[in-house]
Amino acid sequence: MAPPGYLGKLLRVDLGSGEIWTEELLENELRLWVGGVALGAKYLLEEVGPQVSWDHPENRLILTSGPVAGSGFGGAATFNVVSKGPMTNMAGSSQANGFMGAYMKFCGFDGVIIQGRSRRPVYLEIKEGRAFLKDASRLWGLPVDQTEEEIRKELGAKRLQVSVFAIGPAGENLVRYAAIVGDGGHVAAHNGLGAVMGAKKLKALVAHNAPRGFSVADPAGLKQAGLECFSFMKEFGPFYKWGTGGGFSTIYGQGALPVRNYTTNIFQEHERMNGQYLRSHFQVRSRPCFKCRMAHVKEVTVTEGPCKGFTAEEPEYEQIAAWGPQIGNTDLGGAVLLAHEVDRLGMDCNEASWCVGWAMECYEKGRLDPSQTEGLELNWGNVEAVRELLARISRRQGFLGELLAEGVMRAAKRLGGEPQEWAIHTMQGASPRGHDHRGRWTELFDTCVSNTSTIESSFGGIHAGFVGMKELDDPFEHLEVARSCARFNGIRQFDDCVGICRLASMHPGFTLRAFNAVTGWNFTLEDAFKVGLRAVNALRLFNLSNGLKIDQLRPSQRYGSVPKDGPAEGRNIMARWEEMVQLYHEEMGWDPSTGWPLPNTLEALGIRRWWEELSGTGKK
Amino acid sequence: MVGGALGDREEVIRVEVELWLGTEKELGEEFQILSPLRSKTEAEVPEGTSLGELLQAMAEGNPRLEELLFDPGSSALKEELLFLKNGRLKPRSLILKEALSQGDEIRVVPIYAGG
Repeated sequence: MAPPGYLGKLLRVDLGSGEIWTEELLENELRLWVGGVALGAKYLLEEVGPQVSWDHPENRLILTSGPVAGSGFGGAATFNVVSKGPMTNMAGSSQANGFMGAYMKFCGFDGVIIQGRSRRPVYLEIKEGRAFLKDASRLWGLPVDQTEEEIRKELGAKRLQVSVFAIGPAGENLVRYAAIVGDGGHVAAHNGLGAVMGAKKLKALVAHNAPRGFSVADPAGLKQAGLECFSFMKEFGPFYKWGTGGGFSTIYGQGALPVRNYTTNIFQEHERMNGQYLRSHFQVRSRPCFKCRMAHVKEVTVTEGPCKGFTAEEPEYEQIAAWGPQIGNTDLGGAVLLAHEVDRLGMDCNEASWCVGWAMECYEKGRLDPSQTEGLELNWGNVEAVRELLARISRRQGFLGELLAEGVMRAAKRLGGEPQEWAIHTMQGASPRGHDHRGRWTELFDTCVSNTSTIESSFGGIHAGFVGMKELDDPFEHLEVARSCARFNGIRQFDDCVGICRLASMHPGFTLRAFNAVTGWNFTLEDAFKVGLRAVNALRLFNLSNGLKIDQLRPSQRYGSVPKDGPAEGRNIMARWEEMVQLYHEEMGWDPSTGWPLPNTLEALGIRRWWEELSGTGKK
Repeated sequence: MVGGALGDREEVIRVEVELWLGTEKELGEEFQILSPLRSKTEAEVPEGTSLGELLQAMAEGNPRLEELLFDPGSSALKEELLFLKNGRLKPRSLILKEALSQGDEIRVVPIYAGG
């Protein structure tokens, strides 16, 4: 019998043979790995070897929910995707909210692992403990929003009756930063997991809504934790009132807003592009995720400017940053339009904006000529040109579409010359989130040393008080930044195991209470850290056995450059980079010079067997 | 001049304090509302006054400001706040203790990590 919070079942699908089967998930394994990213990391390490490239049929696409998802705790319907991704050809882990994390469990499964490659496009439908592969030939080529609509029509289902996550043209055309998008604009964005789906010819995953099929150990405790969490989150930061865009100006005030591909930190128009402006001037309607009272997700109608009358999902902070300052655009309506476009084409907005911003800088400086842009005038702020460019990238159309579909690291290398110095990326090939991290060193460092292809320790040091730690006194003190990232690491990965949206429960204390109320396992904060650290160490082992080298744990030249103006002017993170990495490894219990987890570290986490296995197979 | 709590030091300097903490009438008439996010006030303080002392003095008799800046029932400034002087982020321990100078522009910003 499955423990509370779980169905105890994993769905397995081989797209090559069409075979579908289930596997039992045992309680002792679930107590170690919980769900989400940790469970995904375990299967990735066990089943995907170094000889398997990201687009090989033997790569796994691992979609996992968590114990709290679907329990009724507000906003708990998050699912996690783990795979080997095309940006790094190493591990990628990304989450999306909406409804899938709950509905997957209502259909009888804690997770779905997909392997193989279909001969023709298909989508996977799960319903009442069963799964079906359905022909998706007529959907191939459609953008995500239309795909969702067509599938709902085919199944005769209304919006809340099914959860649909799909790829758009970008995933089909193996754009390296293609995303998995669904439920009206929720995105599992990082490391090109949509391209993995495209390589498998899997257009979409569909799960039906149904009565809850799992038990909760302490329903009253869960309800109380939910009420208190909601009260806390209503007052915490700008999210409840202004959405994530409510932090846009604050991030500018800290020097962490990306402006014109990191060429400046000055963006005087920030208060005409923030969430406060958007929600005060545009028309907004709530479109909450599953059972979410925070309801930070809205639909918005633009009421002014060239895009007046346009209706789409309200852009999150990162979309506004991507399609506002990063490309030199000061029209908020234009950012709403581009955010919608990048979602429906099925691409990560961060990497897309690093690509577009880089191309604009190249164009403005005469390093891309009109014949290469095939008529597109890529001057800063040209929203219409960017809209067309995004469409070309998603189809790999023309010189620039093909070039940028590879991501900015590869595009810059191919173009060569000085523009190579202008590309923003980690040396693993991963995309930073939508900030200027030269003003937020904890996240810059975390992004570069992470094993998930995006932030891992997450917020390194920020809100440290939540777990009894101190905030950084000096955000630009090299070694304190590195130490803080190591000491904070684990708890945010635990978040990504349990199936709760971070914006519904920013405080790990509430997340842990909800987890314990659902499972009855009474984990301590230390236990929660350990679960997260199992994921981190498993992914580090995976990446190392897939060729990760220590010199890849650093930023590109522009990403790690010294700001010329703004709050972080003159600050140089690279001055002590090697010392930072070495200290970080020591604090993580890893070999300081190679980054390999030490046997004792794995022993303490109960996963030493992998040390023996990797040593034995010659991977190490 | 802000508060009598700063003592009898002789020379007076003028500084500007901008709060990026949301605009509220409850902050008082001395605050000029710049936008829905930002409000600003000017303060005259004795030479040698630190930013920590200034903020403490400003919060005296201003319960809403005290609530925004200080931990409940404590004289400790909230850890979730960042302090900039003349547009530059500085270490918290340093910026709160060092003496203010004539014309200094202070910005108080909450730490924000989302996105």
